[in-house]
Formats: sequence, structure tokens, C-alpha cells
Amino acid sequence: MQLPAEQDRFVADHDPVVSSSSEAQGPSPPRLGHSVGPVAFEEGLDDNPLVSIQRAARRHHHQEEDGDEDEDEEGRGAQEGRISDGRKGSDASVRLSASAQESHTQGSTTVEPLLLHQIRETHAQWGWTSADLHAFRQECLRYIGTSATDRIREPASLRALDPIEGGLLSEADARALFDIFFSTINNQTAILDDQIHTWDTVRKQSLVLFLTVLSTAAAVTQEGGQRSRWAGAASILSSDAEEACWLSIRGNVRSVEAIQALLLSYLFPPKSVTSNADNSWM
Amino acid sequence: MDVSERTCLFFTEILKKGTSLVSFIDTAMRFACQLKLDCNEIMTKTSNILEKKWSGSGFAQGSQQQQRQKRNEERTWLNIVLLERTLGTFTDARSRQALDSDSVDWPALRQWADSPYAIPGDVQLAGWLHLRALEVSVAAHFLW
Repeated sequence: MQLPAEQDRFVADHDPVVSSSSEAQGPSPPRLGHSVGPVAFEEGLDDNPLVSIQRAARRHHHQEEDGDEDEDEEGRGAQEGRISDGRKGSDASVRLSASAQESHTQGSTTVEPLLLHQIRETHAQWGWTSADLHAFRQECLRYIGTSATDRIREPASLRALDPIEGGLLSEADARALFDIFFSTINNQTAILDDQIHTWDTVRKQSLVLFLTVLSTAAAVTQEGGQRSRWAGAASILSSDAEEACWLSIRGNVRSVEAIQALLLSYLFPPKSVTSNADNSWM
Repeated sequence: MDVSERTCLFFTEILKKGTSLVSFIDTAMRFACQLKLDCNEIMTKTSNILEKKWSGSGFAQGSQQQQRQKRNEERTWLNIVLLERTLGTFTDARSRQALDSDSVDWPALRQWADSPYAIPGDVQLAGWLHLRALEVSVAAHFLW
């Protein structure tokens, strides 16, 4: 199958073998047998993935040729001689150039290993351009670079549940609830450290933890045996905190703050209206 | 939406229908294991010994803020273990973290609770873990 012209040009620009042969011999077919060292994989990370695949295919083809070389030293064809010229020295180079000239004059097609040919044909069938290959390489590097231990921050959609920006609480009320949590509840639960979980850090780093802290404090706070002035906001805060927890789970948020919010949500579940709806024992 | 997000969405919908708060603890433990919070210096799982040696971190290393951050992660893991063990006590489920002397460095836990950077609930947390370990060892004699 004929490759797209753009991809052919891209391969010719990035492949040192193809580039050198095209400069030296004009439109001659690409010469294979370019020696690929053991650091080809590391080099390939900085190059285009198509070039890396081509190098791997050549290395694979070299290994196959090594097995045939011992069996039939003299009866080798011109094509095999071209492929192994990088290891055979000057005699092979002479034989290579002669055979390349011969194949060029005979109008034969390019001499490629079977695997490389299949890869190029597959890319052509997919219609991949150089931009697609570059995007694919970036995606691969991003996938490999993001290991399972990396922390994943909260999605931006959680910001819609901010009680202060949403007008549910004033900042003074929120600060009062925050202080109540650390002065009373946190001494018993031992989940947060008031020296590192300050108002600024919690609000900046994790909205789900911020919401959970406020909803926990608003749910348990009473003023002189009466309902506190945050009792009206407590139910909304509780549902918002639960929703934030589910959004964090759904967004695969990986952070210590999200874990602490889940623990607090378990320890201080929303109050149910009826006993039938009470699931705090589950 | 990648595979992990689709998996999370799938389990989220299942858990929401169950409306069980236990799922919060299971999810918290899964997140904690992904963040390698179980690789701490108190809960010495056998599989983490090499990683502990490789990290080379100690109790009295780093600035105060770094030590508090480290203690914060350790405290989170201890809370998860305690809550999961508490739930396992009711449901007879096996915990992910063993509490025998081979798996937990009890002198290190005592030292951790007596640290100058400890918060008031740390001693209580260590005490609860001691009680849970005692309960596990006693129950093992009677149940098996």
C-alpha cells in the first residue's frame, strides 16, 4: 500500500539512513543495516515513535539474520548482503553499494524487513500522519509518567459546591465552624493536624475536606441546648459534602485530604429524618 | 473518560444504590494503598520492608513541617486500619492489615504517640490499635 506523501517525507527527514542515502545517491531506496546500539530504546524516547519502531524492527531483523549467517556464508543473496553491511565491513559495503545500484537500475521497490513493512502499511491504513504519531507519543509518555502513586487533584467542577462562593455561609461563619471542629471534634477523632490543616491550606488544597469539616461542625454544634444558627445550613452542607465525596470517588481523586474526608464522612454521617432511613450502622 | 474513571463510575453507581457507609472505608483504603500510605514505619508489612529500607527515612528526620506531613499520612493509615478492623469485628471480615507483632512495630507506635508533634488524639489512636490487636489475638485462640 502506498504511504501518504507527508508520512514518507516525515520518515525521510527523521531517519538518518534514509537521509544519508537520499543525499548521497539521490532517489535510491533506503539502505538498511544501519547499526543500532544497545541504547536505541533510550534514544528512541527523544525521537519520533515511528523512527523508534523502525529501529526496533531493524534490530529484530538483524537478530534473525545472525542465525542465518552461520549456516550459509557464501550463498547469500544481494538483499541479505545489504542488510548486514553494517557488521561486515568494507567488503559488505562494496557489495551493498553495488547491489543498491543494481536494484535501483532494475527499478525494484524498496528493500525492507517484513516487520517494518507491516508497521508502515498498518500506519498507512490507519491514516496516521506525523502529527498523529506525535500526539500518540505524547499520550504514551503521559500515561507512563503518571504512575499509580501520583496524587490526582480534585476536579474543577467541585468548586461549584464551595459554600462561601455559593453564598451559603459567610466567611466569618465558616471560620467559626472550622475553629469549632478543631477545638472539639478533632481532639476525639484524631484525623487532622491543626498545625498543617489550617484554614488557608485546607480551603486551597481540598474542597471536599473543607466541606466535610464544615458540615461535621455544623451538624453537631448546639448553642446552650438550642439549635445553632447554622442548623439551617447544616443539612445543605451535609448533602453537599456527601456529593463532594461521591464526586471525588468518581473523579478518582487520589490525595490524603480526600481520604480524610471519606473517614470523616463515615464517622459523622448525615442525620436521617426517620429511623428507616438511618444507614449509619451499615 | 479512561478505564480507571469508567471503573470508578461503575463502582460508584453500585455503592450509591447500596447506600452503605462501609464503602467509604473500603474506598479510603483503596486510595491509601494507591498512594502507598501503607508503606510507613509502624505497620511493617513484609512486602514493604524493601521499600522502607530503600526510602531510608527515620522518625527524627526532616523539618518540623515535613515530620508533621509524614505523621499526617501515618495517622491517616492508622485511622483507616482501625476503622476497617472495627468493621471487620462486626462483619467477621479479614482485614488487609494484620495486627500481630510481625506486622506492626509496637514500640515504634508507642514512640510515635509520644512524639512532641503528636496531636491529642494520637495516644487514643494508639490505644485503640492496641486493643484491637489484643482482641484479634484472643479471638484467634477461641475461634480457630
